[in-house]
Amino acid sequence: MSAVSFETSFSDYLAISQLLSRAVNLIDANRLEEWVDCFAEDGRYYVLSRENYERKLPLKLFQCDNKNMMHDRVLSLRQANVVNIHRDQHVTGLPQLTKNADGSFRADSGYALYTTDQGGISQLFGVGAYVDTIRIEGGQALFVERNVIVDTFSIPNMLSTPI
Amino acid sequence: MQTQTISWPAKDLSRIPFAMYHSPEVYAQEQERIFRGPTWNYLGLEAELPNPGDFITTVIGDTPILVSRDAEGKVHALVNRCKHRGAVLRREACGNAKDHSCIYHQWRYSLAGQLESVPFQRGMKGEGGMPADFDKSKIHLDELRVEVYKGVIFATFSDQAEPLLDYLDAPVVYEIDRLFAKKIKVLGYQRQRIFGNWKLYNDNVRDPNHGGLLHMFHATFGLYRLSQIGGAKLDRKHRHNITFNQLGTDDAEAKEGYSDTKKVFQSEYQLRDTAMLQNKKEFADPVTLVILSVFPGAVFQQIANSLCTRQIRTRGLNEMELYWTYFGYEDDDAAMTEHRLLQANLCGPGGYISMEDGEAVEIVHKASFTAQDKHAIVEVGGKGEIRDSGNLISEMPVRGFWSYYCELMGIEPGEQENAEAAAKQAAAQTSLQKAAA
Repeated sequence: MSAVSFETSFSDYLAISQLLSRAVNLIDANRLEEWVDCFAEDGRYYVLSRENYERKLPLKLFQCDNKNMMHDRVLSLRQANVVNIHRDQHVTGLPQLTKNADGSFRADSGYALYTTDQGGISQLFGVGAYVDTIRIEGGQALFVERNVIVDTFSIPNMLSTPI
Repeated sequence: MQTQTISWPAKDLSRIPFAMYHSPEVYAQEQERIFRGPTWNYLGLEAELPNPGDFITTVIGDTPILVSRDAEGKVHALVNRCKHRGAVLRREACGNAKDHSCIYHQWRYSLAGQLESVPFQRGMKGEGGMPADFDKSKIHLDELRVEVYKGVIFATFSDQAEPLLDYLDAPVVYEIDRLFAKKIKVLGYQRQRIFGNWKLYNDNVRDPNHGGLLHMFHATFGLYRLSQIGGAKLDRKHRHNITFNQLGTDDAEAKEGYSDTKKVFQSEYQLRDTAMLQNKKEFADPVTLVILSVFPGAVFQQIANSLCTRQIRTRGLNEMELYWTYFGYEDDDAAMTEHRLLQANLCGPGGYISMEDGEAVEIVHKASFTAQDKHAIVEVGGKGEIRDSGNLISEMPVRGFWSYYCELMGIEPGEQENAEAAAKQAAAQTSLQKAAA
């Protein structure tokens, strides 16, 4: 792996950074319908526990093989599921970028996710890592695949909103 | 003892005292009389430790358990606690080993739990070490009785426990035969921490009525509605429960039954990708959902093609962890494995149709804390005799759980003295209220 500056242009780095921050900010703002737009048309979204990831077990917590499945998650959350009333606040680390052979980028970054209840009490929901494959099309970065590897895999209460 | 002041006004257990979810004394007694009592506790699946030397660590109630397969292939359930100073012996979740050594002072045990060596047992130059009468052959990790049925590992602390198949009884054995007819492969795990007493989750899984009311995804997308063919079957002691249903059997009745609810059944919503909702028929019968709960802390699940076990792990009075083990069959082709993985979206802490259970347990635990002299009403499906239910509009299996629970705890619900105690409590409260006024 060579240093970022030799393989990533500044504009690519900016586009990717914008995507990464947009994705978590949209979730924190409960604009989940727009969050889906952070993905390419062939995009995939997975949330998986570190436990399964390290044992090479295929089971996920969320498995969205396509954008329709992401829309369905949002629809169910809006219309069917009864969730614990809360808001999310992500705190993310700087991404480490590497360029893939097909011109896409791999981005590795860390996150901490706090939830706040109606009484204004915040708790750590979990920490983990994003391992993303990102494509830049016409100056705009989009997720081809977003993997959320959850270190805090003993999920407190429920996992309702995407991470 | 606190339990004597808790009132059980209804002999048929149609009233459950909220104090049972909040009393530290009760919790301590449960560990002894339920989890270390004459019950068979689910530990895991043989497929998780297929080879000699394989081990997994788990719990029964609060007690740490090491499940270890010895060189001859026999599965042992050992208390995961070194006999020397009481340290956790195996700290890993799973692995393969030649023996089990305690990190603290390197006491080394065989895979079957027999103490094999103690470093510097004879000391040095005649000084130190263990006394001459120390006999390591007499030291063995505390070992439980194990029975493995169809690859499912159960253990008990008690010599008094009936044989496993008698304990499970015919209706439960039938379901385990059905679910474990073929060799399985584990697909992965999920864990969910629920902030409520462990018995509230037992109530939850024995309450077919909530499935079609709380879990709105179920009803909205037709997987499970109270209007479908289904019911609840119990064993002879009513301690276990099998909730089952058949999807697609209620098109006419659904709208009417749900007409009093606002959001539960909404026929106007459609998923964009319905692959997850498909049931690929793999069982001879038409049953598409089985939630089998085995006293005191195991659940076996078929929801369409999503198969898993759930283990209730107590974490003190006010918290539990639900440990989900998903599996498929060894002879599944790649497409079936993919389908099961996709359908796992339905369950677990992030499951479309199960995520609400954590919240339901939590809000009962929270609000019932200040109602410890009061009782939950358990009457859906009828009062009196506890029996099988011919449809899903029932919570009768909840009373079944409590009837066996009370038997093990030495509680006699509905006794005169309990009624009197309740009357006294009520009188005391009235006089308090008067005094306050």
